[in-house]
Amino acid sequence: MDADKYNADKFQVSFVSGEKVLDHCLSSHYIQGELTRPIRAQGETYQKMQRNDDLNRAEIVKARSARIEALLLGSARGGQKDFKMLVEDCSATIHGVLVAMLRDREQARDALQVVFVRIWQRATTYDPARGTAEGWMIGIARNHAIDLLRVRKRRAETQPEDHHDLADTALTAERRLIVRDDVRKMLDCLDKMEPKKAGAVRMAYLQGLSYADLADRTGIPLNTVRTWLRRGLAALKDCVDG
Amino acid sequence: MADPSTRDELDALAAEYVLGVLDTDIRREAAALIDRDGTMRVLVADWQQRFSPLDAGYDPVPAPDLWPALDRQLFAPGRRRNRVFWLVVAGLAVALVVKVAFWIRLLF
Repeated sequence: MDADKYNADKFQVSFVSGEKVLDHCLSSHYIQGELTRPIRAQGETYQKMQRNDDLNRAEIVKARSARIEALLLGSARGGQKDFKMLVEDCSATIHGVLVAMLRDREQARDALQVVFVRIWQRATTYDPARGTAEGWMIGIARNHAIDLLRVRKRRAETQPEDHHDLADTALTAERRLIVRDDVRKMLDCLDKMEPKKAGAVRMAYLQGLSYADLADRTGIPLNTVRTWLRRGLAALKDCVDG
Repeated sequence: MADPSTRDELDALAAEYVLGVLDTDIRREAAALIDRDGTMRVLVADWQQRFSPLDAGYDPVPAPDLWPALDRQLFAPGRRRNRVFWLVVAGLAVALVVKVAFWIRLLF
């Protein structure tokens, strides 16, 4: 925990989120000379370096996660300064979720404020034993976005949308390097699924698609798409839990 | 909505709720179920955990500075109430001092 705190303080400058910041943190390491990476490292040496990089990335991810958890717990105790830092650190992450789901910058901006108000109001219900602080906040953002999407769907039932390829949402190999064991397991389980089903799960989760949307995009009739997906979800659960 | 009487049915509904594929009516019923049914709450929490690795698929998007608006909405009213409270306290204190001073002048 102390090591986490140390790292968290050290990297507090720009915990915006995601890969870009990780890269930024790593490069500042390089600049400080804490990591030495020969420009033309080859073979085994390079692989070892690569492993060290992964370890460092994992450390940074852990440090960020610990910092965000501390800020959220601080907010739950009524700490307005903690909440302010939480907003600064996580705005880009939450905004990313809302933009990906709503696909409308203006609505995403408005939703962002609503989501942070909810985070402040519900902070006391966050339980660290049941998942990461960031995951909890993303859950609130997703729920709000889904509600907005369903209302929108009702108003404009047949509005054309840009269709995205199923492959669009596949996670890159680069990402897999840094992720935790449970994450790796989940992704492996998705890989074992029928690709079309795995793609549907990913798209539904990341873009907030409804059964009607999924029927549209997969070409599976609406009255069978539910059974089709439910079977996939049951298989996914067996794989992840088993 | 299919009657979520069996545990499997309830679990499938929890998965669909977390995934977000339900339409408005069933989603609302599922939310109501989460409010009143402890088992459903646990199933939903489990599915949130299972799906959370997919969160890595969201790319961060730089956001405008949200703090001024949030501060106005959440904390400014409290500060205003605070200010009014202290102004009233200060006013009462001044009145008390004046009154005490007046008494003292009457005594001597």
